[in-house]
Amino acid sequence: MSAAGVSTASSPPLRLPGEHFAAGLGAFVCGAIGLVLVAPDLARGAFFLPHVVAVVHLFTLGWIMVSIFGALCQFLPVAVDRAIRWEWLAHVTFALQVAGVLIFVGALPTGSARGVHIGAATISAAFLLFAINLAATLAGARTHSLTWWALAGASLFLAITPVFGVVLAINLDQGLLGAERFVTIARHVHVAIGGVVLLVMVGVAHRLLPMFLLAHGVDSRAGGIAVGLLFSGALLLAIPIGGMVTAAPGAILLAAGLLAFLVQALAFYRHRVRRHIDPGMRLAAAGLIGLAAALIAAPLALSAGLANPQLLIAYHLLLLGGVSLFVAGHYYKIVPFLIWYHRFGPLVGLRPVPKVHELYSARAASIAGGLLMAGWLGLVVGVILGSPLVARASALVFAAGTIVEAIAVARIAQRRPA
Amino acid sequence: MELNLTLLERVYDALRLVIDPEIGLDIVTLGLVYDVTLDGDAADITFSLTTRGCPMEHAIRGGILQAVSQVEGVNTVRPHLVWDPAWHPGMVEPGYL
Repeated sequence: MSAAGVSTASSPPLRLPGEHFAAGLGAFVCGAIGLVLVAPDLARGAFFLPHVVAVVHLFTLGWIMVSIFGALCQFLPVAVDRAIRWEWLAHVTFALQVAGVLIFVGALPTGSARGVHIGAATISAAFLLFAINLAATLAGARTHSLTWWALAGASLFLAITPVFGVVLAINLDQGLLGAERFVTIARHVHVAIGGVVLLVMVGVAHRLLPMFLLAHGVDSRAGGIAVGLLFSGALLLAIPIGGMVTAAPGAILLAAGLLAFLVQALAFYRHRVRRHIDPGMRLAAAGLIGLAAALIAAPLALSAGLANPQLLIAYHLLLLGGVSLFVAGHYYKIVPFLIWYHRFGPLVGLRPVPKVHELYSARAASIAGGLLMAGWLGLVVGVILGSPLVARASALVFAAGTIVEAIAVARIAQRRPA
Repeated sequence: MELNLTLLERVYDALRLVIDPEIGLDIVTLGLVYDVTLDGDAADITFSLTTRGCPMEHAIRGGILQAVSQVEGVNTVRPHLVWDPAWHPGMVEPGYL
């Protein structure tokens, strides 16, 4: 059944993904509120400010990564037919990640170097432990599918990404990177997005999109190419030497990998049997369009660099916004199914049970999606125009979308059989 | 024979309680039930899943067991999962997707 996409007999208890999704949504809302505060700074092209960096990490570490960790805890048994190797360690990782993000994000605006270092170290420990848990789980798999290779690659970059983060955190008060600071930040961002986030997205989408869209028999070679290109690109960017010799080909490979992923995702959407696209998959599609826009903007933004900070910010907004919407869309697929599986699944065959889409209001989901998309697009436009007013108003719309989504998901979590 | 036909219909009706929660259709409408045979008070249900190696097998099998066990006249339920022929969306009853 298509519902098998997210659950198996060896799936963890609801609490494990549940705590991740609750914290992830909390970070999504807090990040969006922070975005309202920093939006005028972004429109002015000022992004190397501590409070801006704090907001960015609320999204990346608090929203995107916590959601990914939670989704993987649930998805791994499906993807590799193995329960997560150490369930207790996943709880520990979660606690470290949440504590680390709170310390790190709290310390940045206050200028506490000690807090930034402790936060970065705690988050790094969480990443490393999750990478070990992920690798140990994958090691027990009998077959090595595209999803397996994508997640194996992501486990490597989960261990590498925080190294950049720690170096940058230390650099904040010691300045050891000098002029290399900006290049190191660019490597950090793209290793994290390409090597971790996009590889996970490719691996998960390879399994879930055909199921959610009912797109059977689609050629998946583009997905395989995407895994190879993203891995190679992130690996080159992870080499902290060689300047443009490693950075340029790394960036090109990453871009090609993203393009291959988008081609694969488009094939799934185009070959879907069900013509109606539900609010979750619409939001995910909007995220993919955002990533396509980021791909187009990348050469312009990265070549202009600090000479055009607004363009650079707009590019990163497209990139992180695209990922955010893709993740937000999947909340409407995974959370209702988990609630259904744990609370209504045991009643199958005994009495009529609701369908997954009946566990939430499609109207509320569409409103949330509309607000998120409109706010995000408006923010990008506001930054490009250099208008603090447009940027802040759009960030408000986006924040409203996160609140509506959080309420909608919380209501799903409360659903129980009558 | 007439009794068996009626029982068969009731078994199929019971199987319609087993749904794919994501697609929102029951396994009969989805075309996942390939065959039902009755042998006295025993029912053999031959079914498939939409994806090969689908890990929801136990949940579907459990749903089939629970649903058909409720049918009066059936005392033994034997679900059989098969992959040949492989399921495809064309097997869904017309007009449902």
